[in-house]
Amino acid sequence: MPKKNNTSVVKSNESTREAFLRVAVQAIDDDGEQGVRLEKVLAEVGVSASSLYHHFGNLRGLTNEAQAERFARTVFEDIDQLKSLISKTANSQDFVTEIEKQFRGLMSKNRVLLRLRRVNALGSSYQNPQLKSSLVVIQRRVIDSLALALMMAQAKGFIPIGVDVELAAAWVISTIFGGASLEIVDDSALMDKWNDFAVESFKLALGLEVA
Amino acid sequence: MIAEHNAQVGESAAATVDIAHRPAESTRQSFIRITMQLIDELGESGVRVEDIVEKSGHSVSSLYHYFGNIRGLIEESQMSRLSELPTGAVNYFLEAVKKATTTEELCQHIIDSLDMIFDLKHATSRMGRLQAVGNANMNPVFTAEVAKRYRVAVDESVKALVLARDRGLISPDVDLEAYSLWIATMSSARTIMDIDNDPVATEKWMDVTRTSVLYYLGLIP
Repeated sequence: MPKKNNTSVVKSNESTREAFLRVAVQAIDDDGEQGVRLEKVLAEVGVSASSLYHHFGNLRGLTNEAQAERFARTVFEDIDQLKSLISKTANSQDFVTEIEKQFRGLMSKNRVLLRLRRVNALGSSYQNPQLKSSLVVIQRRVIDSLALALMMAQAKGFIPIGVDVELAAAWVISTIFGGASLEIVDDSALMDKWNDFAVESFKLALGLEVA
Repeated sequence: MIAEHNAQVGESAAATVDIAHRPAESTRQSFIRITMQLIDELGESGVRVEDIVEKSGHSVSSLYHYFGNIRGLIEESQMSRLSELPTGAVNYFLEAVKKATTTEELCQHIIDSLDMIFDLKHATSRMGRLQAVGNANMNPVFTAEVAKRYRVAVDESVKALVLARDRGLISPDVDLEAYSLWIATMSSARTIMDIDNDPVATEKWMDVTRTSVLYYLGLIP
């Protein structure tokens, strides 16, 4: 069944594979995993079932890749942004201010859906070993990438040498993730309190001076 | 304690067959219990009407009568899975705080309860709850239920910490609500370490958690 918006047919700059992923990601965002239905996906991408089997093996394969995409969305861009910020920062004091701003940006209200979708994607890997192993690979890359950013800050003398940056990266990422599970409570006063607390715990993990 | 109960439910598939027809249990409850167990074992997508009917001994029409459809049954079962924590974890923590009479005892009880709550053997139930929470944002009834659980957990935790503060065991300056909120979210945070299951990284992460938990209460410098 074609959807009301006609933006769904393959866009000129995207491959069939990308179109499948975009459509499946959207379907999960809207209706959960059960929203990824064969006829609907094929109609929206505008190709035959054999194309789906060629790219993803089966519908489960497509759903898994779409979940992995939802799990990783924007994370690497965020870390790249952090890296460029660190390379531009001149002194430790600015670093503390800037990194706090970055962390608060990641935890800001307007990104709540992104965070909840990440929780949903990881939760969906329960009893789905294939999805779980893709998410583990992504998670390791995320932690490595953040650790690398922190190492850059360490090299510039912003983070004390004794700090285990890989551990600090895992701590920050897991804490933000944990906070996302609180977010469905949707109480901004509580969330603000949680954010303040989390930011202090990040500074502590990075060996920065705590207020 | 409840987390432990959770793990037991998962492990005792055989025992459940024997209690499939507990007299005290309503048809509705037995549908939910069996579906919870199937979700624990197979995930949501593995739940099939045939299996539920077979295990419960009730008819398909009875399932539709109580839950409308299989989706309705799955949602109610997920809600029941959710209701077991974070309250359970926090209760355990509370008992530990209440028992303590000296700062050293308090530290020891807190660390013991953390280690127990975050033990690897609870990884599956953590993940199961995360799945329930992850699906909750699609569903307002669920969301309200999760919100309620968090509030209960946080309120209970604040109450216990106030007791400890009144006894002079923890720093008077700590925002106990913020602290309790943070503790309540750490179980989901732990799933990030659980999925990779790297024992060295996990132990390091636990070390930071133990240190932070004590540090924020002013128990260590």
